[in-house]
Amino acid sequence: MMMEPKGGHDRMLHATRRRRAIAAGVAAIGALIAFGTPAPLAAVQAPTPQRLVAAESPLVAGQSSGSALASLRAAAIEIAARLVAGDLRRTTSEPDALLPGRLHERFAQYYRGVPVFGADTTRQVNAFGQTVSVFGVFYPDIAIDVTPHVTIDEARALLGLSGGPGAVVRGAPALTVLPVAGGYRLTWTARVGSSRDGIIERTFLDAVTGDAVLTYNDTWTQSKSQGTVGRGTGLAGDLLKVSEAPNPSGGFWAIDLLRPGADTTYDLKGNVVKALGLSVGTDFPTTNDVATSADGTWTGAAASAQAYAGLALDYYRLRFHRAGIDNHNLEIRCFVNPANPADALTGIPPNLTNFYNNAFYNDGGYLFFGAGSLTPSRSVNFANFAAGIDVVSHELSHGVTQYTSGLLYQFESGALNESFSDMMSAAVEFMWQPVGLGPAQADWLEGEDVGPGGRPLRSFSDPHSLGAPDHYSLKLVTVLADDDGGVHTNSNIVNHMYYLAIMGGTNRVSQITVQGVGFDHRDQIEQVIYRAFTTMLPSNATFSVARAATIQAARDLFGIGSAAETAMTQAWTAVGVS
Amino acid sequence: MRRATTIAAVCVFVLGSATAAAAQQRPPRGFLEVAVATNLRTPATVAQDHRFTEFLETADVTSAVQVGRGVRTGARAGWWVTRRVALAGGVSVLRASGAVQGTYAFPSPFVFNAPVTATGSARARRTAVDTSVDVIASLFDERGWQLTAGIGPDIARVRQPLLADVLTATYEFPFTAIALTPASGASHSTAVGVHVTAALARHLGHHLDLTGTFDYRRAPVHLTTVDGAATVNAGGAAAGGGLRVRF
Repeated sequence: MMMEPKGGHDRMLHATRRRRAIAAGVAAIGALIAFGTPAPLAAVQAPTPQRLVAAESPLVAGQSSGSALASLRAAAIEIAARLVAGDLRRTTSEPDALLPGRLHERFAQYYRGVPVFGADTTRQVNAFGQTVSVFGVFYPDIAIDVTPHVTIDEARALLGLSGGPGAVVRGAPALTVLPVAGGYRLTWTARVGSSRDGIIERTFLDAVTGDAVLTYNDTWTQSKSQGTVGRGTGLAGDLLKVSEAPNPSGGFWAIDLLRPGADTTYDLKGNVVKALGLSVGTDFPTTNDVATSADGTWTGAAASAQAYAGLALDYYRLRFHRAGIDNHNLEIRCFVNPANPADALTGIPPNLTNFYNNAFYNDGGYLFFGAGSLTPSRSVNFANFAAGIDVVSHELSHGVTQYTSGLLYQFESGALNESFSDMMSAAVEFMWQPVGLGPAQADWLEGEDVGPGGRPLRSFSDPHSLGAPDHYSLKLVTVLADDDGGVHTNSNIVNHMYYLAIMGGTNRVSQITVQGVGFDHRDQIEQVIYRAFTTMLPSNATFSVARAATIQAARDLFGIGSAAETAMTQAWTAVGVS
Repeated sequence: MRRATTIAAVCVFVLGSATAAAAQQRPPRGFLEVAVATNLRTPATVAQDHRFTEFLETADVTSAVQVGRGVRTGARAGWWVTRRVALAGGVSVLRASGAVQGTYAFPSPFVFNAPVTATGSARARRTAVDTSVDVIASLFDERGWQLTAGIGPDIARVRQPLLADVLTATYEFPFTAIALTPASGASHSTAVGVHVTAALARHLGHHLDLTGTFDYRRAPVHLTTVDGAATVNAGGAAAGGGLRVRF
C-alpha cells in the first residue's frame, strides 16, 4: 500500500470475519471433511531455513576468498544433487539482459512433489556453465505426510468462504508445504479476493484438517493500428503526452497503441462498487469504462495515470531492456477515480479506504489509484493517487516483483518488496522529471504529490524526519497482522541505504559515512538493485540476503572494488545490515 | 614516321579540297548534330527544410543534395530557313553524380522536448532530359568557319533523388532511434524554360563540320516528396564539342 500501514484494529476485524466464514464453511460441508477449531491468526515463527549465500568472492564479513569459492562450489554441488533428487525444480531460466552469456535460473524447493512455500533459490551461471552466485532458502528437515485429506474442491469452497460473502478464489488452490511454528503443515493455498473491501489475501488451509493456518494481506499496495498522442495536463499541473487510440464512435480512448501491450486507463467515475468488483475479480473492465477524451485533450487522473504508467514502462525498457512487468509486455490496466473524494466527508467505510487514500497493485497488471479525500473543511486531504509519477511507478514495480522474485509480502521480504517499488519509483521520477521540490519534480521523497497537505509518505534521505526507521536497529518488530509485519515501515531502512549508495552521506544512527557513486552515476545503483532484486533474491529473502545479492550484482556489473560495489557495501553497513 | 607524314599530308589535302569545294557548292540546308558537353557550373546544392507537426511538436527534416557537373550528350536536327536563320529541335541528356545528406529530428511521442535525431547520406544522381526548339542565326560564315547563336524554349524533365527517395526513415516503438534504410526512388518533374546556344563550326567538308558548342539552359523544376518540396534549377551552362552533318 502506498501510504500508511494498515492498522491492527482493521486486521482484527478481518480475522474475526475470517474465523466466522471458516466456521460457516466448515458447517456447510461438515459432512465431507473432518474439521477442527479455526486457528487464530498469529505471527509465523517458521523453522529456521538453510540460507544459501554464495559467490566467487566473499560476501560475508570475515570470509576468506578460499572459503567463498569453497562455499560456492558446495552450493553448486548441492543444487545439482537436489535437482537430481527432485528436491529442487527449475522454474525459470532467463538470459542475462546486461551481461551476455550469463544465465539466471530460479529453483523452487519441492518436498515429495509438493512445493515448499517461500523456499526458492536463484543461481547465476556464466557462459562456461560455471556457477557465479547462489542465493536461496531451503528447508532441509521437512518430514510430513503429503496426502491431503481435504480435496481441492473442498479447499476451493473453504477458501472462498474464508474471504466472506462473494469472495473470489483467484486461480486453483495449490497444495503447499507451509513452514509454521513448530514444524511444517501440508496446506492448500490460494489468493482470495474479498468482495467487501477488494483486498487480496493469501490464505492457507490445513490440507488434513481444513483449519485456516495463515492469512495475510497479499494486495501489493503503495501505501496494432497506430495510436495517436493527446495533450494532457496532469493532476500536478504538468504538461503530458497521452498515448491514445481513436474511438470509432468519435473522440479518443486512453489506450496506448504506441507501446506494446495496449495499456489502458479506465475511469471508474467514482463508482466504488464497480471498483470493488474489479479489484476482487467479480467484475471486469469494459470499453465503457475506458477513459475518453472528445478531442485528444486530457486532464485529471486519466491523463496522469496513462502518461505515468507509460513512462514507468519506458524506464524499465530503457534502463534494463525489460519488456513490461512480466517481460512479455503484459497489458497494464490503470483504474482511476474509483471513488468520489467528497464521499469521504461522510466517512469512508473502512473496507473501502484503499479506493480513497491509497493505491495498490492487483494481480496481472491491474493498478488502482485512490481518488483521494477531502477534509471536513472541504480542503484536500489526500490528493488523487494518480497525481504522482512515483506512486504510479511504485505500483507498477510491484508487478515486476510479482513476475520476478515474488518477494513474499510479509516481514523483511515484504519490506524488500516495498522498497524495490520505492527505489524504482524514485529512479523513474529522476529519469522523467526535472529535479526540484515542487509538484511534478523529482526528489528523494515518496508520494509527495499525493500525501496529506503535501506531506510525503516516505523520505529516502531522512526517514527519521517522518518517524520511520533509518537503521536496522530501529526496525519495527511486529506481528503479521500489523502491516504484514511492518513492510511499509521497515522498507525505509532499505530506501535509506539506496539513497546513501547514490548520494553518499552519513547515517544518523551509526554515524558511518558512505561514499556514494554520485547522482550522475545513479544508474549504476539502479542497475545493481534491479539485477539483485529481479534475478537473485529468493522470495523469502531477508535484508541480509539482499545485502549479499546487491553486492554480488555490483561485482557482476562493475567489478570487484568498483565504486558501485564500495557504495553498496558501505551503505548497507551504514544502515546496520550485515 | 614516314607513314604518319603521308597520312597527315592526305588529311590536309582532303580538308583543303573539301573547303574549297564547299566554297564553290551551294551550302546544304539541313543539318544533324551530335555533341558531348560538360556542365560548367560548380556543384549545385538543393536544400530542403521540411517542418511538420508530429506528436504535438515540430518535426524537422533537413537535407542538401550536392550535384556534380555531369556530362551532357545531345543531338539536334535543323533546317536553314534562310541563309542566316534556321530552326532546330533537339534532345540532350544530362547525367550528373550527386549525394544527399539529411538529418531527421522527430519528437518523442511520450515526452516533450526530447527529439530523436538521425543523419544519413546516400547517392543522388541526377538525370535531366531537355527537349529544345531553337531559332538559330548564323552570325558569321566565312573562310570555312561558321558562328551561330540560337534561343528557344526548353522542356526539362528532371529525375532527382531527394532525401526521402533514397533514405527511408522508420520511427517506431521504442522511439529511441530513427532507422534509415536505403531506397532507390527518385522524384520526377517537368518544367518549361529557356535554352540559349552558340556554336562555332569548322567546315571539314561540304557535309561535315567540327563544332564547339556552348549551351545555357534554365528551367526551374519543382520536385515534391513526402518530406516536402524542392525547386531544382535544371540546366546551367555547358561547353563541349561535336560533329555536324549537313545535307
